[in-house]
Order: sequence, then structure tokens, then C-alpha cells
Amino acid sequence: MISLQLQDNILEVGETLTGQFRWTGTATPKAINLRVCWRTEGRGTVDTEAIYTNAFVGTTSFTFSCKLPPIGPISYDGQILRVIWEVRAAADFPGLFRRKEEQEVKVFRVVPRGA
Amino acid sequence: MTTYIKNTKKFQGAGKLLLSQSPLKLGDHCQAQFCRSLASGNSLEQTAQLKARLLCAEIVTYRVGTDDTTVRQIVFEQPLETQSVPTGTQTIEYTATLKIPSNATPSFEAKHNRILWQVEVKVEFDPVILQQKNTNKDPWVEDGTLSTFAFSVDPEVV
Repeated sequence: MISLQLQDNILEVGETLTGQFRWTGTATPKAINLRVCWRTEGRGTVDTEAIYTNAFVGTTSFTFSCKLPPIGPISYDGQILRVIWEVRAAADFPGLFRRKEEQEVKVFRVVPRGA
Repeated sequence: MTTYIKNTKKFQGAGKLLLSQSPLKLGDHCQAQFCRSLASGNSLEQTAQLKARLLCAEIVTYRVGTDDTTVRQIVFEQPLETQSVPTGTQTIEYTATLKIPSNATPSFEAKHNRILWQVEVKVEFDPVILQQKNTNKDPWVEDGTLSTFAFSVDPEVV
């Protein structure tokens, strides 16, 4: 299974997100795909944008970091719209159906600068 | 009623809104100057009230069948100062102070989802005529006397 840990769960726009993933399964995955993105939830059609993606090949543990956009968006929980930031790590086993434990998602909050 | 309809047709476009500062940040305040001219040679034939409000709204679009539907949900609303516009005015001018709360949300723009900050300015004519014509009607509905301006609020608290 994949364990995913973030150094901070609340960050300001423009700050650097740092985290670490570790694969502890018996089989070695072809790659660990990492994606840092925001997505919308709510009444509208989903919008999403990845600010960092990487496929880690030949490693089962890695510390990653990426800079959050200075213009946001910030995390938001509104009336008909939500904006959610998350990190998703997924083990890639080609040719097999993925089991639930092969993916880990961590949600973090992005707040305005100076908040 | 006749005078009201005649007046709405006299405007030349939606007008302009100038902000003393842009983009704004959370907790910022600035001066907003509104200017809207009547068509050449025209002037107001009756006294009008200029009403304005500062808005923040979630605007989302979703698909139903083959049609896109857009919904606006106002999450912040602040009435601005009302001003009287005298008979004979050819260019309506209005100044107000905008204050963005520090705990509000900044602007957001994606393909189907937006958080939009706006100033709406409405020219309202004789209230008696409006009451007769628009009973139970939203006073901020678009009818040619409403001007809407969007501006950006950055994700930073001053």
C-alpha cells in the first residue's frame, strides 16, 4: 500500500508544498504516479487543474515538493461551489485492475497570503 | 409609466466604472467612480435615484441534456450609498467607497465555475411609477437601467 504524508496541511498561496510517499506492498509497481491538483465540487461541471505531476520509476519512497500558484485558487467551501486541493499518489501496475489500497489521497487547505 | 420607459432608452451603453486601485486584495478599500451618459442631446426628464451594491457571487455552469445552464448564487452583498440625480442631468456620475472584507473569498475563474466580484449600479426613476409597473419584481433585474461591472480580488489579506 501507499502511505502519503504532507509536512503541512494548511498553506498560503505561493508557498511550497512538501510531502513524502512510501510504497510498502509486496510487488514492486512499475511507477508511482503523483499528482497535486485542485478540483471543484458542487452544482457546476467539475473543473480541475494539476500543478504538479510526476511518475516515479524504480523508487518506492520519495520526498517531493512543489510551489503552489501565487494567484490561487484558495480552498473554498461555498454554497454551490467548493474548491478542493489534494495530493494523489497511485501505484501503477500495468495490466491489472487497481485495488483501492493502491491509491492514496491527502486533502490540504490553501489560504490567502497573510490570512 | 411612459416616462420610465422613455428614459431607459436614452442611455448610451452601460457606462464606466473606474476603481482607484486594481486589483484589490482582501481587506482593501478603494474609491469607485461611476459615469454613464445619456444619448447625445438627451437629459433626464425626472429625478432619479442611483442605487449601487457590491456583490460577490458563485457562478457555476452545468449541462442539462444539450443545454448549458448557469446559476448565480450571491454569497456577499453590501448596499452602497444611494444618490439623487436631478432633472436635466446629461451624464450621471457617482462615487462610492468599496470595502472588501478581509474574511471574504478572492476571485476565482475556471471554465465552469467562478467566484466573481461585481458592482451593480441601478438608475431608478419615480418610485410611484416603479411600484405600478414592477410589483413584486426584483429591483436589481436587468432592464436597461442596470450597469454591472466585474473586478478582481487577489488571494492576499492586507
